[in-house]
Amino acid sequence: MSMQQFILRRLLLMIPLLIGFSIIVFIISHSLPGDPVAAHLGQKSMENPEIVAAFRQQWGLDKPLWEQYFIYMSKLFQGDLGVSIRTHRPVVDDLRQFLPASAELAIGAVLFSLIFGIPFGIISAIKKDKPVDHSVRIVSLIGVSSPVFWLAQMGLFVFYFRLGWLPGPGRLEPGMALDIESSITGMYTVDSLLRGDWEMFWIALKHLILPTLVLGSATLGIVTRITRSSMLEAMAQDYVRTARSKGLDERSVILRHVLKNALIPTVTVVGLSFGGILAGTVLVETIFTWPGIGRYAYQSCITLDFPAIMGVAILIAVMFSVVNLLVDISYAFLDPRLRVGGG
Amino acid sequence: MSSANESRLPIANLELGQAESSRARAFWDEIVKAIRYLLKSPLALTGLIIVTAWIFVSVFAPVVAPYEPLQQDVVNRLQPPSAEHWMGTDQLGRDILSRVIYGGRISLPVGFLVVFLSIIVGTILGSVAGYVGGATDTALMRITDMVMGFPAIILAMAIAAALGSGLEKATLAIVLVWWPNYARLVRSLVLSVRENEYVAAARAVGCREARILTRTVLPNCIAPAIVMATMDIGNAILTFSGLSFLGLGAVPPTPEWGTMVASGIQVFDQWWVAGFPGLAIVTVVMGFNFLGDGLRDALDPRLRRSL
Repeated sequence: MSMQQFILRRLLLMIPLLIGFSIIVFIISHSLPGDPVAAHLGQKSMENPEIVAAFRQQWGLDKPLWEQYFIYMSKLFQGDLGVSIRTHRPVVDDLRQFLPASAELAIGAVLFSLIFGIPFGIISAIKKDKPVDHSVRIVSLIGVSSPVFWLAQMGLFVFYFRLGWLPGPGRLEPGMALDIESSITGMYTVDSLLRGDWEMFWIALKHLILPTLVLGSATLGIVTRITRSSMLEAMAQDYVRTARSKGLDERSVILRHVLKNALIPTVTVVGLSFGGILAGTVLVETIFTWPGIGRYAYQSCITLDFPAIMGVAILIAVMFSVVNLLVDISYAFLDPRLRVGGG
Repeated sequence: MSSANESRLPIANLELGQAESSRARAFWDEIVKAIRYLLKSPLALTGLIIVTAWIFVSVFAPVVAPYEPLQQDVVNRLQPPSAEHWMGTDQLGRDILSRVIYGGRISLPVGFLVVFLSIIVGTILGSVAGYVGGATDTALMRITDMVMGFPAIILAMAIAAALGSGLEKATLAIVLVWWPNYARLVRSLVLSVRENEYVAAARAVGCREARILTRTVLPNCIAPAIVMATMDIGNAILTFSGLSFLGLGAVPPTPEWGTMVASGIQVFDQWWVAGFPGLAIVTVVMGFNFLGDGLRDALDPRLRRSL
């Protein structure tokens, strides 16, 4: 099976998965006890049966569930996710506006966890059972064990409130806004760089630091742990002994023979923690009033805004599947044994 | 024919019974060895002590806590930590230390319950999928994929929002997204254990499939599931506190850690209101992670030798 065939097959397999998933979320968001009518109409309007009926009709709630689902899906394939009950805007527009903010945060968190996690893991493995190793292990376990919402609050207290080193919540200074119409990627740091606006870049970057560190802390711990353990495993392999015995210096052994093999599990783990990062955005964005997908998902959930819930859910499921596919593809590049033809 | 069967079966059962009991003995030997190893590993021992301490404090909360967790004292609101209130007081003058201690009575049972229920659901679905195979396997695994194809807390959040807040509902919401990990684990274990000769032997002596699955295959899947469960209790507590933080779990005035951290946002500069409940979450989760880490090393003989 060639690489293209493999990717194509995986993409095709995603379709039934996503359809099944959309059914599950549709049922959850439409048929559980929570009443969207009560959530959106005031007490007074609820007493007027005509308004309630009009609301039900407007949102298609008077039709049987399966019919609602088919209407939804046929619109979905035309790129129409319906209109949010809460924001009164097309869900597609909402998502397009909020996604870049989350992407900026998530990419930052992944980069942070890799840039620090891999070297920590390597040092820990080389100095196994030395004090350095123990402290790295303990710190990474603490990172994995800390609730992000608490880290966020404590981080804000220390670095914003007490020390004043970093700015408070938000993507920019209060009152400042980047023109949405003229934005290029929607990621403020990237946009300001593309425009050569250094002042804006610096402000956006400063606002990004704390939420990124908080969001990446758990992944940092995971990356460190997995790099350490897969390094140790790779170091015990025969080919490493061979490399050593032919007189290769330790540095080349570690970098060229051990690390390359040890990185495969790390890639998997980063891919798998993408879900955790997405989940973390809900909490981090809520605390940092970061206008992203996570905050949008949360606000949609508590107001039972089902068109928005469906939209966010489908978007997240698609992203999740794509990331998993990318992880699988990246194996082939890291490990020639798994490359084309092997199976 | 029938008489031949009758005369052969008891003997077969007897032999099988012996084989089972010797395997059970081997299993317990492993456990004892694992515990001995565990007690030698400082990290795992630390975890064990932390977890035991939290369980003790939670069980004896009424004795240990210096104040009533719901007792308000508005005159002494938002007092910083002092000799009288070791962790200070909150907006309503409630003693934070007492509330943190009582918080264990909510988070720990929820953590255990989520993992316990998930193991039951996961083991049933996973073992059936792995043992029966075929279309049943495919169908069950596709459902598993669908639930797993989504970050747990976001799906739990949607379910919890739809169900309405409350402890039982939040627990249910988490279990609904939690079981697939166990279904996958048990399925893969069943698949590998199924190939062992003693399973073929059990079948050869005429055991019913259900008996083979429950008596021969599943006991050999226990150890990895226990490791995963131990590390998982911490994660379950973390997810639950996240839901509560968002207002979708425990309801005020219940002394629950996530809710307490959330209430600290309003009094941002009074760090102790959010600080100590959060620290409680960190220590409990860390305890379970230390313990789980140690257990994994201890129960995996391959690792044990190399360490």
